[in-house]
Amino acid sequence: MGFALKVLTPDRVLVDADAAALVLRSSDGDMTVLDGHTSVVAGVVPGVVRIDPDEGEPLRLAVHGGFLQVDTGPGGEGPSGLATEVALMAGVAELVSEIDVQRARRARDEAEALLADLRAGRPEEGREPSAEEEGAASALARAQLRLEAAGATEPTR
Amino acid sequence: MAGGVVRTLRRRIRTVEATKKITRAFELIAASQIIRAQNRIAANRPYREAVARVVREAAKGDPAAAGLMGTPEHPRKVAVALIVGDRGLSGPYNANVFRAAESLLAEQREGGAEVQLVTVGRRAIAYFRFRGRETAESFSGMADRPAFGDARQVAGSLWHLFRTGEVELVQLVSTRYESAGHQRVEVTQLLPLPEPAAKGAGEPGSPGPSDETARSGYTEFEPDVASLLAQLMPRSVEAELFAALLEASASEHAARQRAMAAATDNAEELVRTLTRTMNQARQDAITNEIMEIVGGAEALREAKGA
Repeated sequence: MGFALKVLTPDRVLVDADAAALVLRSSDGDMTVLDGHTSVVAGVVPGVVRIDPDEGEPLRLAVHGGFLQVDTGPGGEGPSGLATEVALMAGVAELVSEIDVQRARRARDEAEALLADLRAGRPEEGREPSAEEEGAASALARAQLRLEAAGATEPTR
Repeated sequence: MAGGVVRTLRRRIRTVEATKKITRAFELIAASQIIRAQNRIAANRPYREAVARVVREAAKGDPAAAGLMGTPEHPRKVAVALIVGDRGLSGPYNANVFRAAESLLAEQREGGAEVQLVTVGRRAIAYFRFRGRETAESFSGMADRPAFGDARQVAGSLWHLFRTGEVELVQLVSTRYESAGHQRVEVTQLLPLPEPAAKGAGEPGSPGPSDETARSGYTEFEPDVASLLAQLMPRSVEAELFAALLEASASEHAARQRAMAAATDNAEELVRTLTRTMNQARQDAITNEIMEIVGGAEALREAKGA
């Protein structure tokens, strides 16, 4: 028996399914959520999240940071007698199968160039990074995660 | 001479007809945008509610979060954010927000607070520049089709003001989309996080008490509640702001559709009156001409007979 899992983004409900297991990296380390997992609220660090359905191929997501809420209480029909509801919220997340590798590659190169430009202009160390620089850095991090995530499913390209 | 009047009227009718076509087109565009905007609100709702739920859960676990929650009694420094459109032609949509913002500003000043303005929408730039009012920051180009990145930008700037202690309270004035026929300007508190009870009461869109609390009494936090809340708060502001942007955009389209429908009706009415006046002028002209001919013929015959 699985548990109800929702992956929510500001633009849509990305996943709404029954899952057997959810594997992700929280701010305290890797964790796996199974049915009956204790109630928890956790920060999710950017990385690849794996969802194992009751049967069939696991689903992989690139999640660019977010939060996880596991809510377990009495009332389930399963052997544990508990009902588990899991919600994973992310500002930006996508299915690995939907990642556009060409685009991510372009975005990475652009962000790298922009970041190099910005940093070359203001060489002092230890200063507070500008909003533009932070934006470029996070764009770069997103592009790198996308490439890394997609690379896992298509090794050579 | 009389033909001149008819020609002028005909030209005016043509102009009004052209205007009517434009307003009709705007109306149809707005109508299609409403549907899209509504769908986006619906698609966003689960995310927004889930984030709100997590925030409530985390806040419950940390009584020390009091500084980040609740409403300060007498704030000295306040940020007021407002969301209007980039364009006009939307009836009273923008003016309603400005009016609510003005009364909020007056209220805060009366309380002795120093107010910083953060605006979204090109209309606000013009409005406050004309009144010689300084704005801390102005955003534009996102009101029509807000993207989550836009919300993140605005929320980032508000969060920065709050985190650095430049303001103690962040309020938002925006239009809430209740239904296609009903939108309402509302003042909401973004930061510190409003007390869940106070918030749930005034908001029909917020989740009911049934799904408000977790099933179990005990919830673990990773990392500890305090650092989790620190991570969670800016995300929560983003989520609230994105929802507000989506609702404002839907409201703007609804207001525009209504305004343009009224304009189209007006144009139709004007064409009808003008056509009537023109027909009358034409008939007058014909009558005049006949009178002149008859009068001329009469005069000729009298001249011959004499």
